[in-house]
Amino acid sequence: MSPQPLDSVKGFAVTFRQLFKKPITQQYPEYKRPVYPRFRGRHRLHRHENGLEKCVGCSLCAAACPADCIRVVAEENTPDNRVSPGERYARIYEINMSRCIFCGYCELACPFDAITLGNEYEISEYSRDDLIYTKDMLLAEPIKKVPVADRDLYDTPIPYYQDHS
Amino acid sequence: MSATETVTLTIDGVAVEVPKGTGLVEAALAAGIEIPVFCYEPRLGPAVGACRMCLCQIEPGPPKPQAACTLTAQDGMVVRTALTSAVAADAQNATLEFILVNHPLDCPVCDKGGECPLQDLTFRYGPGNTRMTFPKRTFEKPIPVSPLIALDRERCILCYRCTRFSEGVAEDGQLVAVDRGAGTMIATFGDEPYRAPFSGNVIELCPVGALTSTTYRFEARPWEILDVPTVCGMCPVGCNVNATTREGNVKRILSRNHPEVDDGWLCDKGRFSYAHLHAEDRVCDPILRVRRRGFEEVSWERALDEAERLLREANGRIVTALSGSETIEEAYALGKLLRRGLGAHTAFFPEESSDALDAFRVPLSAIRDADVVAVLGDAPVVERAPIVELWIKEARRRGARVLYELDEEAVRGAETAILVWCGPGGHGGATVAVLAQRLGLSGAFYIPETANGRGVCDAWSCSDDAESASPDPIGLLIVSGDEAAANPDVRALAEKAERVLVISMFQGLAAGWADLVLPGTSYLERDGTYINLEGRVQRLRRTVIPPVPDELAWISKLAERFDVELSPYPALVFEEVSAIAFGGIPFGEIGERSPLPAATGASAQIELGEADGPAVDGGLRLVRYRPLFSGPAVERVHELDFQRPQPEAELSEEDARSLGVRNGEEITIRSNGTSVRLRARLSRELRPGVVRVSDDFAGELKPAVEISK
Repeated sequence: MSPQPLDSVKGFAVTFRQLFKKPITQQYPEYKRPVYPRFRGRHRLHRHENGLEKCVGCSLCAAACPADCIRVVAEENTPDNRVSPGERYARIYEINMSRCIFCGYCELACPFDAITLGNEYEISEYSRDDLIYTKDMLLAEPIKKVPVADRDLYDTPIPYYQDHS
Repeated sequence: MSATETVTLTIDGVAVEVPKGTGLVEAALAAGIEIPVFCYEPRLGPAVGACRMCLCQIEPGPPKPQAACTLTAQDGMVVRTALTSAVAADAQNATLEFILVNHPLDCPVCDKGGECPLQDLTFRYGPGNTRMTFPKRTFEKPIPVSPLIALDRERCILCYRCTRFSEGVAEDGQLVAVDRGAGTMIATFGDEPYRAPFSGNVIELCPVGALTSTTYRFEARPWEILDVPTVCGMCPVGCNVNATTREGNVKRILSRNHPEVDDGWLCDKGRFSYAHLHAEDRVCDPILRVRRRGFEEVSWERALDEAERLLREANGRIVTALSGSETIEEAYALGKLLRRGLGAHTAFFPEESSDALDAFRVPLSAIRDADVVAVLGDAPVVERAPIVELWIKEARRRGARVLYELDEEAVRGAETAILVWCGPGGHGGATVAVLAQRLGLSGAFYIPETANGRGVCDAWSCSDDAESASPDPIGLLIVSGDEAAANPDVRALAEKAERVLVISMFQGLAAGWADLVLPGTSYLERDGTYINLEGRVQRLRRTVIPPVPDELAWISKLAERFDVELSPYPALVFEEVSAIAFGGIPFGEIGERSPLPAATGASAQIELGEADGPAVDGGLRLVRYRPLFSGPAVERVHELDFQRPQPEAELSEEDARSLGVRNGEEITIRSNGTSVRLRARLSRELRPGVVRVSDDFAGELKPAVEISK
């Protein structure tokens, strides 16, 4: 027996009020909520405007990685096979997405801004092997699966390189 | 000796007492203070003070910072380093800024990045920012100094470590600084490659990434590698090395400075021949000769069945040809299996070995401190045991007399005299010991041809006591190792054997003449022990997992079938050998830098004939030698091809004078109907009456030769 029967009525009043509000549930696969511009999702490797890869295979990302999920094997550029400017390029660049914790240290460590974390978070696979992203996958322009929030709507700081250059 | 004479000085307020003559850098280190350096390296001889990184404020002295590395500690000196003196800190900061004016910021691309003294010291002492706003100098790069070494002129800070090594340690004088001032560059003469047995050391000496190894180029970064301490197994010196591995592959070999053995130097053979692990013709599966179908790769199970069958069918008429590159454990295991299990006691050793020299055992570093070094035996030391040559050179620089012909008076008169025997007639050191005893020497070395000949011989004799006559005809010849498989004497023996079992790494050596080939492993893939030419037991560690089971693993499996108890673990096998031969030292206590066992008491008078003299009347005696850059492993490393010997014949100056031959002239060497035309090279390190030709060019020449122009 409830000592204060009025209290339960009060509680149900809250529930009742919600009935007339719009639901805040988002129907996820149908509706994708925009992510913040600096959201850390799937990595991307970048190219220079002339088509050469920015990555020189220095392995600093691998050194910075706390999850030890990056593997880089470098090789020397030759006149016949020029992949990046300079002497060295990454012959193999792999990220094991099943181990990655999306901390973004690789991005910070990169001396050439070759790797950045993108906006995608839909990277589940049926097999663990498919979660090892190769260089070709990381270099490819990813299909836009996730809408990015309008930069103006959010109070995000201006990137340092736009501020200081 | 003035070892007790000390001086007291103050470094950053810390009073420190050091022996007189100690350099300031070491004195500071004794006080726990670092004086940063780039060019300073005591092993390269007197300091030059080229980099100015060590600037300190020193009193008494001029009122400006001085290069500490060029000074020795004096009584009452007051040294203030960058830690306490603003003047010194400012000077070091400015030095680094100056060095970095033209040093490119390509650390992410540079192989030295991550293990670079310039990076480290800039981080600790240098300016955080650069005032250099002009474009930096650029040069064409990389410039090949040799097929093994790449030079990046932009990165060079002109510390002159490499040229000092070339001039003052290896004494090959090939690497020099050409031009002056800002245009100075490190180069060889003309377009000649840096062809010298010790060239690889300059890579390790370079404090920046100016001289880098072409074989390690872009292979790994310092945080991705694992250095495994092991011992080089390419020659009897047994230099201590670190094998740098990445992802299960050896990527480079670095020195691991054992001050008594190698003093931190390595020869190019030891440094670069690791690539033989990935030789194209590496045997990865056992190969069996099958009637009519030729050769077939078979499973290990089948191979062991076949090996058992071969061993049983031979009925004890087995001869084992050892190559002297097996570990002690392997040789012991093979011996135990064959001798206890099958009663096959006959072994064919690559060379004689004796324990007679144990009474004259001294570390190799004793050569440096000797007054007289007698190098006898006529074979070139550098081709057999290259590091010994560096010790001899160091001794000569320190004022020792180096004799290439025995001068008994000089040897007897010397306070410390060391004998190094390299060449035929040493009888594994037995005759050398007789000579050493007669002359009352303080130390003597015999330089064998194989890396572990002594250890293999000891291990084989430990495995059983019984003896038996040599079988005739030979039922089964077991050829253990590549050196044995490449040995013409072993090949001749195989002609007489009914069946041949070869353990080899390389198909090119083993295929064709063997009934069964079992894959072998290299010294970099084994766990075990080696004995070097001093008699020092040193530990090999497995640096990478071999593609095949190692010898000990399958020998122990085979031993099971013959009811011989044999462990597959080197530690346990070594314990058995150690109890008999090495006074029971456990495997785990050999250590990373193993000590030299004390010399045994003077052994009983060994009476052997005199060392073989030049018993050739009329004409010259030909000494053929196996060149350093030869052998099954080196032949498979094509980067080393340019180091193969030139078509030359070495002559002593006296002989050349009497024959009228000048340096570089073509001569004909004739013996018994055959002749060879070679270029003459005059050598001061050869006694008269002897001409030296490498095996590659000696052809069919007999020991007695005549020379004509």
